[in-house]
Amino acid sequence: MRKAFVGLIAATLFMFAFSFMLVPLYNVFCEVTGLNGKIYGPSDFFKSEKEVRE
Amino acid sequence: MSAVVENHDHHHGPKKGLLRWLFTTNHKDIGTLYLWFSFLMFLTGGAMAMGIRAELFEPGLQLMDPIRYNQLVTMHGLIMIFGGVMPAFVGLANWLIPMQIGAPDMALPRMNNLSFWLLPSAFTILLSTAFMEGGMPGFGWTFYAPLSTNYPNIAYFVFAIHIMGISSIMGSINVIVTIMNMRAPGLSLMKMPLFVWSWLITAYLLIAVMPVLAGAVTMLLMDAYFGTSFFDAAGGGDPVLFQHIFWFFGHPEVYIMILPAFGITSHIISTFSRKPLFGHSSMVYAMVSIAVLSFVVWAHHMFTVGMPLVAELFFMWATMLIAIPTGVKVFNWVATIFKGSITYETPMLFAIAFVVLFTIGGFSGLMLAITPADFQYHDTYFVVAHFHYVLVPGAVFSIMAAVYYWLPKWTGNMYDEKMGKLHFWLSFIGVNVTFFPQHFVGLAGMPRRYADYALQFAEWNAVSSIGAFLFGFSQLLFLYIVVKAVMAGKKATPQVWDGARGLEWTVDSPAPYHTFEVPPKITEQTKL
Repeated sequence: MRKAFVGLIAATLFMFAFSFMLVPLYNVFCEVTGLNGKIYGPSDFFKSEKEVRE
Repeated sequence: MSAVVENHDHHHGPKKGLLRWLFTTNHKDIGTLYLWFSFLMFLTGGAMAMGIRAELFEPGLQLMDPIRYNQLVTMHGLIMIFGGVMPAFVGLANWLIPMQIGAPDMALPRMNNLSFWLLPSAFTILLSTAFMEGGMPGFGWTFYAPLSTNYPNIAYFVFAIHIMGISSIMGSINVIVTIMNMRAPGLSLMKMPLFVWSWLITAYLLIAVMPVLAGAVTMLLMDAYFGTSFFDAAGGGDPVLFQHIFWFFGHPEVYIMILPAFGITSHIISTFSRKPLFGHSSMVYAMVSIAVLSFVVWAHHMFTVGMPLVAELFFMWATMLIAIPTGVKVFNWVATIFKGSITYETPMLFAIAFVVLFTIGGFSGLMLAITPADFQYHDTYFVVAHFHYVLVPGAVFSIMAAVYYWLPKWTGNMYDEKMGKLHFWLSFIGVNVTFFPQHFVGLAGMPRRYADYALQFAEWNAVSSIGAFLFGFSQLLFLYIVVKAVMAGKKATPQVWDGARGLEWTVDSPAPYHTFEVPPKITEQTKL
């Protein structure tokens, strides 16, 4: 009975941690698949057109 | 747990006075507390629904400004889900699971007491925002960020959700530990009654997703007060991520609110058809498949956020796949009724209405699952009609069916059958008059979550409001019937219903304060 109880508490804590793990996982997923149109790295906004082309 | 020394007298009755309810560790007392609390919340959330329908009775703004309207919609959703349906099922689990598996009580009785008493505090915190500057949360029960992070009083909302979550997780742990360890000798898992099975699966779902909800509201709190940017695009976060996390919780959550209803319906239909349930093990497998599939369909709530085609196709097909195990269940219920010697007592009426109306809700769900069609239906009243069909004549009707069915066992008195039937017909007509027209206005393009609407929707909205008032006020009749049965009534026999099967019908009516202190023997002849 104790084993089941401890196991279930552990599962609860794992899922709580997992919900926070979803944030980096989601970012990695978007980066790898190129989905969601997220911008990574510094913005090109302040560069001249020539720099951007390079 | 086995180290606890059992030195108190097992044959005492309940304590005297009000403190009995505060300190009780008896599963029947706690079940009763849960059920009354859920009824109180049902009336509270219902009163809010009456306010919403009163405002929508006519186009234009009559009774409240849009902010107040949004607050009512939000609180109606939160209260009905977390305060109405879920505690009602936990209450039924407390009353019935130990009796159905032949156990003396729940495995963790003190935790059981705590998990109930957390609930009133959570809802006090949530409802206290009504008296604060800034008012109640008004961002919808789905609290999409970053709208919700910019709302006043969000900390109260977050802590209330935390406490409710802890309460349901503790309740689920209790259910699983009880079922796994305290079944009567000879009661194998596959022999378990379906209500017990449905709750076992539900409890695992709760353990898996309530922590994710807790995580989501924690991130919300951090975004609002600690300067993080989980969901704020301006700080590098992503609002779409919020929707993914929320619906990863949210979809299993909707099955948490329907699986116990499947269990209840199976018992009642079998009893009043006077036949064993058709396909007991296929019912179990169907519920397990529904539970597993519920983790891979969440994005059908957010088809319009701009997902790649391949993801939309995946979530569309996965969602449609759920119709198969659900179809198996409906088939089994109909096959159980087929050629049975049927009588139509109130629980049976509610159970049949459940099967018919839940199936209507299921089919409109299938329509919504079709991605291209969903772009049209998304955020319209069609969605409102769909989920109210699965939740009101689905989950709520099953709870009412369960109350009528087991009330003689709980109180020892039969309820007033005539009044019960009247309550059923008023509710049945009320529900359909309320929610069926919402399909029409939804398909015609009326959006959700607005206090006002275009003139062409006026007629059906008036009809819908009249239905809502009928349904709402007929619940006072329910209260009257239950109170009357608690006070007095024709004495019930232990068997109560002549077709009923299961261990709970072998004990006296009303069930004694302590049952199955000696576990019953399960043999091939035991009618389960």
